[in-house]
Amino acid sequence: MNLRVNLIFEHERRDCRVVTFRFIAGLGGSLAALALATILGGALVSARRQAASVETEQWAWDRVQETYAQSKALSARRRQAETFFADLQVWSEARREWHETLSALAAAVPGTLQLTEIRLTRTTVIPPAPVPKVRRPGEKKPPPPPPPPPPHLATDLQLTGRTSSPTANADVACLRDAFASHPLSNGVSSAVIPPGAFRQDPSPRAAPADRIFEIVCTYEQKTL
Amino acid sequence: MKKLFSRKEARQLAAVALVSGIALIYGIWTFAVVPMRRAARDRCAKYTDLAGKNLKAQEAVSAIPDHEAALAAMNADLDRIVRDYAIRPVLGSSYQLGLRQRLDPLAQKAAFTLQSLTVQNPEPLPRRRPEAPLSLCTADIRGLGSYEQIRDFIAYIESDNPYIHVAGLTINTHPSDPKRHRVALRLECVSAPAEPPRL
Repeated sequence: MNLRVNLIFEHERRDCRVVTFRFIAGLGGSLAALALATILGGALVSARRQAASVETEQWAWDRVQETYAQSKALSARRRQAETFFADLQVWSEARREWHETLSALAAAVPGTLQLTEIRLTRTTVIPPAPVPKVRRPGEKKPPPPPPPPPPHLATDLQLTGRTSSPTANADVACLRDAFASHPLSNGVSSAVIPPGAFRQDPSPRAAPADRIFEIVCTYEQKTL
Repeated sequence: MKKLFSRKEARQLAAVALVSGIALIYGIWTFAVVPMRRAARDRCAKYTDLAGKNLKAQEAVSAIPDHEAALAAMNADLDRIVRDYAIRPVLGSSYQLGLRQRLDPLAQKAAFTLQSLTVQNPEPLPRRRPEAPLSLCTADIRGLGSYEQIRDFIAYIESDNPYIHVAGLTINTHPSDPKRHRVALRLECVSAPAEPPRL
């Protein structure tokens, strides 16, 4: 029969293992505390550094703000001036050299025709602005209307004359056709004898062979 | 005397310490780390915004000399146009006299008889830009001349000034003088006030 006699108290017992539970608990707690302290410390240092950077940028912004506003105003003035010059350039380039047309016309008119009137009209056409779509209740907001189309120059040249030539038909047609060839054709989009414009001269002193005629030239539109 | 715990009490104490530790970590995380992280994120966003604004501002500021040079060049161009080509009011009021001073020598050179000249009030040029430094004067001219004289007069006008447009022309036969024609000429000219505004 074996007898086991326990001569020490419970609290007097000692753990004989190398790594005890108390050691692990202490180590774990210390490591956790260290990690926490590192995280908090790192966050604090980083926050200070960030705050300093923000302060530096804010200081730089406060210093540059006024000059920046001046620069923006200057840039807007420059853009406006460039637009003005571009518009002026377009207007200047929309010009036709009418003395060249008059010279070419003098050479192109057959000797049998007599011009009684030359009428040149050039008008600036300003197209109407598009009307914005009316919004009905419950409908989504309609998109803004497109910008109005730019104005353009519409030019017409009207020649009126008379002739008593036996070849009047061919001569008037020849003058009309001159607007389809160089140099009179420059910028011409059409040259027509309107219906009824080539006819017997209605004046009381006119001879039976006298004819009057009209040629209307339309020039290409120039956008401003 | 050192208090001695039984094995069971020691384990209970360890469990309480563990739970307290976890609670402490959770508290620190929730009430310290999370707000710090949020503040850091806000500061980072503010920094990025400010840094971006500063960079843009620096670029804009460094472009100031370029803007000034461009504006100076355009103002010099404008001065040249105003000085050489724009119709200016004589003695501060009459654009008509200003245009007359320009056209009379040209008419004389072309032997064209300039009978009358009327000038309408200037409009902004380009259109719809009332703040523009230049304006557009429309002038109606009546005169007499042969076809060649009329052509030469127009040629002189067009070569003298690139900022004058012939906007209308009517040449009629003269009933009593077949060699001279009646002319109605409409010109559009660039004009500027006595003190043109700067760009």
